[in-house]
Amino acid sequence: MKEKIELQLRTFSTSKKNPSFKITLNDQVLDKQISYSGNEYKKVFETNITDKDNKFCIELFDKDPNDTVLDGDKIVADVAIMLENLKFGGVACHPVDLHENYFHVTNWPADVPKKIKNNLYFGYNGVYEYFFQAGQDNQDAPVSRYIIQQHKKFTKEDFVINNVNDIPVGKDEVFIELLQEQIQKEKKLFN
Amino acid sequence: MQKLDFLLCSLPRMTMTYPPSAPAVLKSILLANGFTARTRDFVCEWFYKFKDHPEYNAIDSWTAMGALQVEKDIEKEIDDTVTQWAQELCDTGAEWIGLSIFSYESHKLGKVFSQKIKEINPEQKIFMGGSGITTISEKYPQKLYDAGMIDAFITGEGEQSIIEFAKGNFDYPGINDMNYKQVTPEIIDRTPEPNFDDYNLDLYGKENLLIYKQFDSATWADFNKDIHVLPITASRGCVRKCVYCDVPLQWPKFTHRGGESIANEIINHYKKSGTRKFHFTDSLVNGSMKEFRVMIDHLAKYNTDTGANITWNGQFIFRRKGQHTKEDWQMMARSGASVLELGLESGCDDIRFEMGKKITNEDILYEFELARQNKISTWCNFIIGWPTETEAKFEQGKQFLVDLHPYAHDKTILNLELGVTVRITQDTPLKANMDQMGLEFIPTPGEQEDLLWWCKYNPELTFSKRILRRIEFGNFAKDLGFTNPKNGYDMEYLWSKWNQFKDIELAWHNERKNRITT
Repeated sequence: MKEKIELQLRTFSTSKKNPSFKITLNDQVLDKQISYSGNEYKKVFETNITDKDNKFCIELFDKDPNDTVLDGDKIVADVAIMLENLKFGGVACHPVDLHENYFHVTNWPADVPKKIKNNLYFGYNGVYEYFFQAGQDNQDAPVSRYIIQQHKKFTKEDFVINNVNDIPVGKDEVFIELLQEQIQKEKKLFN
Repeated sequence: MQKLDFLLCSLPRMTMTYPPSAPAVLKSILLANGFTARTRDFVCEWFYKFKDHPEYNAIDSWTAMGALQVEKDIEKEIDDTVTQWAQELCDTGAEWIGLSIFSYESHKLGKVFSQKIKEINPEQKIFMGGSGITTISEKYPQKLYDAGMIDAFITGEGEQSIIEFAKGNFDYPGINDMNYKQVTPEIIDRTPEPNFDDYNLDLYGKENLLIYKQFDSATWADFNKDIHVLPITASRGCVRKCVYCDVPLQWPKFTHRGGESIANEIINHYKKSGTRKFHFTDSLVNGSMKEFRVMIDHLAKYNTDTGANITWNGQFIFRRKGQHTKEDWQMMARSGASVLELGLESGCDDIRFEMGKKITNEDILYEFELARQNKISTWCNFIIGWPTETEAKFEQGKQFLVDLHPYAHDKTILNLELGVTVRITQDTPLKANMDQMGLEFIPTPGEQEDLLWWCKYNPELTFSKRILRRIEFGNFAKDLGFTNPKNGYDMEYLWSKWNQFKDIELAWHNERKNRITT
């Protein structure tokens, strides 16, 4: 089925070089940018998704470790991209969901982990893979239904309440007694 | 079939005393500007769907409290209901579905509705509006907007911005931002009367007040005799600047419609639908004495000439002795003043003045006497546990109840509402001046609980102490013959809050003491 995918990246360049990157969906190239000179990349892809399991990829390539400009230990300029927002059918992926997917480092001379999680700043050559499903409960179900399910999965309340109706028998009398006990405990802390 | 531009929905949780006005007002504005619009009242539908459910209390609380978890089977029932309604909304083919968020108590359902609609049809455009997305500190609408769950939101008042929105002017202040403009008196004056045609007004009224448990139905019988009640909005803002209230920040300038226009709106509703009973949604009905006098004069004349027996309720301020004349009270009675809601807030003059209410106990007694002579009832709000409330001031407050209790016996004071003790809420002078008053919040998990604060100048007035005084004040009032129909609801709420926070508060005080000692 037809799916609108919106991608927003922040891009980082040095005075000498801009980032190059490629966007693919199930190994089909949606866009490729060589030496992208803007600070932000925003694009809407009109796609046709037929499979249940799918993979959306963002690949950074043609970077050299020397493209990162250092002042001592501090990075002062870099060639990189950062994933800011990914939407399917207008619904944004939950940030935790994005962080749960991996960036796979490729073609990088220095010794770094091959798989990186919890980081949406892509500073090495490699591919970020976002896995998602279409046609969740029926063939025509949009991807956004999956994205919303992911929202429900990753949205956690800071704390939960489940005793709202648990009022003590005798109400006021019991409550007053408990309050007085508490006030006595507190009183000691004000002496 | 004509294309539907807007489908405007009210969402629980709101009172069932009278129908929600915002969708009806916006509908009339849209129609007057050449757009097509309908309303759907989920406040009412929700209530009738669940009111006889054995777990109604849990369902009702679920809507209001974001963190409340309910049993899985109840959750499923709610989910199924919202799914069905979301499907019905999508089936209308409306270009925009509007979700009216009256307060934070609609946040949970607003989110669930928008998610469901987007699950069914990602292309369906949704917007939110209302005071529940305007007067809040958290970025509720912005988060939903960024996540793509809604396509737009409108903060502030909607009278002008809905027209700009409908025309596609998304740069208008308040659309997708918090920089809304207060509407001018000219806009308010030219706003058409609310259109309640899609509402079933028979479903509102007395029976539904059982939404609050333990209501004394005999007490309510007079208050809500007619089942048809319609809301009226005559003003925005308030002439008082009470320090615990966020109205002055929402509406920095008090704006009032002309008294004649308000009276005409009421009379037109009566002629059209036979409705005799009206409820003012304003912060106060008598902010402008000039326009208020014009309004009551017109209504009194209409009642006298036609025998219409129109009555009205609304929030009202008592003023200094003599500012409301005997003639004012007589005219109010003839205009149909039925129950006035009053924010007396304290029985101690010092505290009341600190709150920003410039009236004394003597002024209050003067006004009650005139209310009694003219058979006008009142509903009085009090706030227990003010930061400077010492034992002596608390006793003064109780003593004032003794002075007032004759008015309870003849139902000049119909009910008291004692609330759940002092909250320090966003956008209030009280919050802004916390340092100066020696106040600090005791940190709570998640959103800061605004009931949980401590005053270093009155250290023993802890949350437990405030609740204890609230119970004591309530019991004292009851013994004197006052009724307090929301008491059971308040107690349940305080019990729940106290259980959540008593250990947190104690640990915090412990740590504070250790800090001082070391």
